[in-house]
Amino acid sequence: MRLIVCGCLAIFTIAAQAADLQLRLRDAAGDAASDTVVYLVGRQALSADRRFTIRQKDKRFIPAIAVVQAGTTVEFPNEDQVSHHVYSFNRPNAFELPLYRDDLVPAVRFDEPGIVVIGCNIHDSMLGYIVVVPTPHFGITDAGGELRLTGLPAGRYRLHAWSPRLDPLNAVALGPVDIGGRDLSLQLALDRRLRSAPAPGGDDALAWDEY
Amino acid sequence: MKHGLLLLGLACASAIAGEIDRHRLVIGADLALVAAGSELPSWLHHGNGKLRFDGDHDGLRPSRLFADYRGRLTPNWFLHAVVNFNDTVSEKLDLTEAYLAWRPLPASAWRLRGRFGAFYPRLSLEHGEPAWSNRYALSASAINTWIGEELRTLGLELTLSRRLQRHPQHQLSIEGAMFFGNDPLGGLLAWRGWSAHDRQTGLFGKVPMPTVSVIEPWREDGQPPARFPPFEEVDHRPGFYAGASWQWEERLRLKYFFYDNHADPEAETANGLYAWETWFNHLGLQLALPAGFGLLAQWLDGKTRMGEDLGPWRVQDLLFDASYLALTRRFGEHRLTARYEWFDLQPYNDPPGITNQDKGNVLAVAWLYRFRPTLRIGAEYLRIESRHCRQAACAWVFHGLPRDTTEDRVQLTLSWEFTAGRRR
Repeated sequence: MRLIVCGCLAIFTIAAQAADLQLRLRDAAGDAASDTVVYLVGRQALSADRRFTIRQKDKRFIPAIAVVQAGTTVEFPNEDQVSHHVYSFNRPNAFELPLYRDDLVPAVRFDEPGIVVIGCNIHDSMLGYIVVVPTPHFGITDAGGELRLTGLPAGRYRLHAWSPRLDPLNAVALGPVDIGGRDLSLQLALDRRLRSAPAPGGDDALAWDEY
Repeated sequence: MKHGLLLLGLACASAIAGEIDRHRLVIGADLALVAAGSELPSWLHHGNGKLRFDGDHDGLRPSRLFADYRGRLTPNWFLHAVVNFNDTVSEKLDLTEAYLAWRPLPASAWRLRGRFGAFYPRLSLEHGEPAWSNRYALSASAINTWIGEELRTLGLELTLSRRLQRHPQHQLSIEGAMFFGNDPLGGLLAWRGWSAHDRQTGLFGKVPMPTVSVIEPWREDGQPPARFPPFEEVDHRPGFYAGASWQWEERLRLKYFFYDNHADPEAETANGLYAWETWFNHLGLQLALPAGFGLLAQWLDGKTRMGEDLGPWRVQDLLFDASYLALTRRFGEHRLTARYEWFDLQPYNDPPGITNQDKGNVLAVAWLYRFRPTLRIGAEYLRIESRHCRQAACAWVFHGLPRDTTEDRVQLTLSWEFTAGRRR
């Protein structure tokens, strides 16, 4: 019943007042804020039963930065020949992937909004982030700092940004934004510089795993 | 001491063996084709040559055989054991490492780890798993060769590390260990001098010694035995080491390490094996360079002494230092590495310069090519130049040996490595 009601509301909203937000984000030095998580939180926190996948491949998490809505179940398939012992100690989302057989893909459900830093207890270099947000309206900026969020219902939202190159533990509030019936284009600047992105892997000249 | 640790390790392992759910066994063998150019017979055959091979012992020969086992006993405990087959007269099959590793799940940004048993401290930048194998060349640098020959931790090591939460590109760690069973450390250096090769000494192994000591001892009882066991407890005093390291992403790793076996230089066993009081500082740097190049550098500086205090010095009383720079680059499945080294071994307080020195350089250029998942071929040119006298003549020359030596060798090695077991 609720599903049908929601469906009707959604159709009504789309027909009447859904809009797109085109966002261009820069840091305090004027450089494009690339690979930055951006999300809009409305009046109510919203959860949903969704699924997402973070792979372990070549001793890395792919994607290294993930943003999911609260209530999402994240699967962690291991595509490497080595074992990985994935965990996070960030409360309230702390977890540990139990020993699993090759035919089972472990999954963890994240109900609480927050930053979840994930690592591997066997390979210290492995580092990833899951940003759990109380909204379905989120995305990650591209190399040019641009992001388009579509189908936003009308209303007032609070805009947040997060990047490990900004503050790995806290999202940054960028202020309120009102979505009306028309598409909106915004250019925003962060109040700090983004630390430069890590150099891409140098052709494996050296071994960095702990012996 | 060693036997006790071994029994304890095996007891723990067998008690939990039924629950091992992740294990990995790696077996490897090397076949080498060597052309050795040295006028001196190898120290392995009681000569004074620095190379592992010599004119009478080169050509086509098996050069390595090992089995490396790692098992996950519980989610937090691992067992690691490495067996090597040696080309010496006895102790042919020997353990080079056997230890329990403890890795509890971190409850915060701090990570505490431990190792208990017999293992290599984390010093070498050239070696890694499996079986403490050289990733970059066929021979190890003088520093790491020495570690493989007569240095091993038989004890307990704890490491505390942290990835900085607000600056996650940086990881810091400190480590400390208490150990027994490495009292003779320094003897091989004093009697045989520095070398560069790929041979590791097993825990129960004895290393052959040259008949003429590289540094002439001040008394007869300081001469080398025919065979020398580096892993013995002589004075029942523990040694310790401590280290601190910083890693910045995969760009740089810098580590400082201090070691002191705290041995009593006047202690000796009933068999006449002396303890050598040895300590050293060590610095290691691993740096990613532009254009896909990598730089490795290690530096070591220390002192070792043994025997009665004769006034100005002990029977053997030495200062040693060594360093190297290695440049490496991968080209797909090929790897090229060039390494240049400096080594020095000086008797402490020898004004007339009669007891020799061991001072020189090493050049190594290696090409490695992994042409199959289990097969790797390598070729390396190695040259060791040493100068044995501070003055025009010294004890070395009086024994009929050449004052300055240049030893080189070309080696081609086929390495086979097979991994069995479920996920590593």
